[in-house]
Amino acid sequence: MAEELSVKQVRAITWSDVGGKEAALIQRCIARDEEACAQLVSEHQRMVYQLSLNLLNDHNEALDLSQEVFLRVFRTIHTFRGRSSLRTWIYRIVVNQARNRQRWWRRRHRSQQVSLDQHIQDHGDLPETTPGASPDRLLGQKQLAERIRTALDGLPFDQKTALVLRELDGLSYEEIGYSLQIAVGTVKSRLARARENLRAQLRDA
Amino acid sequence: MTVLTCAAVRKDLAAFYDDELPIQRRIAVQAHIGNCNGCAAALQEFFDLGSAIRTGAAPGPADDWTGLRPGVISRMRAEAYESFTSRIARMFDDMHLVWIGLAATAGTIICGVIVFGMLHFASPERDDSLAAMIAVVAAPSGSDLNPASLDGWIQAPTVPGDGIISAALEQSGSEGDLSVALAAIVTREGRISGLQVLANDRGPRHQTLLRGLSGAQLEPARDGADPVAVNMVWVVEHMTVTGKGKRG
Repeated sequence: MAEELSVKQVRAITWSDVGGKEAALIQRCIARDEEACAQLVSEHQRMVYQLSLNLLNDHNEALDLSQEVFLRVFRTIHTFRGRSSLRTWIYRIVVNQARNRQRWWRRRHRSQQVSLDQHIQDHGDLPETTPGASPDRLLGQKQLAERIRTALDGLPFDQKTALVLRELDGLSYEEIGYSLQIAVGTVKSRLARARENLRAQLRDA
Repeated sequence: MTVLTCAAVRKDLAAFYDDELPIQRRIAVQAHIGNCNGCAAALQEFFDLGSAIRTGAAPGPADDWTGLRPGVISRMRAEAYESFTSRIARMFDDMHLVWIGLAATAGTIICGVIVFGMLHFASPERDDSLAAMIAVVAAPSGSDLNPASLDGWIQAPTVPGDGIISAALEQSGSEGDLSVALAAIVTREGRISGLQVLANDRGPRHQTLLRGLSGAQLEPARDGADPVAVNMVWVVEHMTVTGKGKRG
């Protein structure tokens, strides 16, 4: 993997990049066209839900947050100026909403802990990636995943968010910076700290 | 092509892994990694960590997931229905109600204007009106509105020793003798009100006397320790006594 050479083209994103189709969809959403709003939700709901779930680690919270995100998107879509892609703009809203929700949650449920069974019930079981894999191997995968989730949850919210946006959603530094409203240099340092902390936590575990 | 040291490559490894290096730099780092086992191992750590994060990521929704669309759209409809503009628009759905509301508002305003006009332009209450008399009767005896009559239980008002009243009397009667009966109300504060002369002769000396006394203040009448307002008649006598001179 490391030997492969890939070339990344970086350029500024403008309205022309957003695309005529997406711009038209946005205009229709601004005009409160219900069909257009439904289409926008359909196109981005998996991405929004998945990011919410990765940030909050709770199925019901993620569902609720995703709905809140789309309502906020439709309330504020008239302020979208095309300085980023619509997807990145929605990422920004998800991150902000998740951060607010987590602050609220920490204030009220700081002492609450969830059992592993409850956790699996909330998040679902891991998909069986290897058909016919042995029970030992499956158990090992589950335990590893659980360890990693716990380690990710142990990271500060901003570090965890940067890492999730980079590793799971594949956003560029620039897009992460826009989503988190920080400079690209800060993104780099935050990612470096997050990776270092995560390695340390996995080593300790 | 630039040849990089391990330290320089390690510094760029994260950006290399994240595909964020400029193309020239990327080629140089790529070349170094191909020949350096230590840097390749360090890069592999990034890949391992990324792989671990993807392993630990929460599983995505199932294929039969119905999605958020129905919930979001229904909440949008509910918000739109409950919005202020929608409420205002619904108020104008039935114009009958609008006309009724406008008529009621206009009627209220007209009534308010009439009441305000009556209050503003009505003449002040007269002392001999029925309302004034009822107010006097309703007021407790001894109050300023309903002065009491002097009787044996009430200590009469007295002239304070500050000399103001004596000075007024002196001024009014300095050019001759004066004997006049005055009717007045002495309030609970000792003020003299309703002062009038009980005589037909109302010359300029009387006027001077009345002016002097109307601004004066007495010690109020008292019923026990409490001051009370009283009606009283006041006889003022001013007499000048002149002696006969010795004739030589």
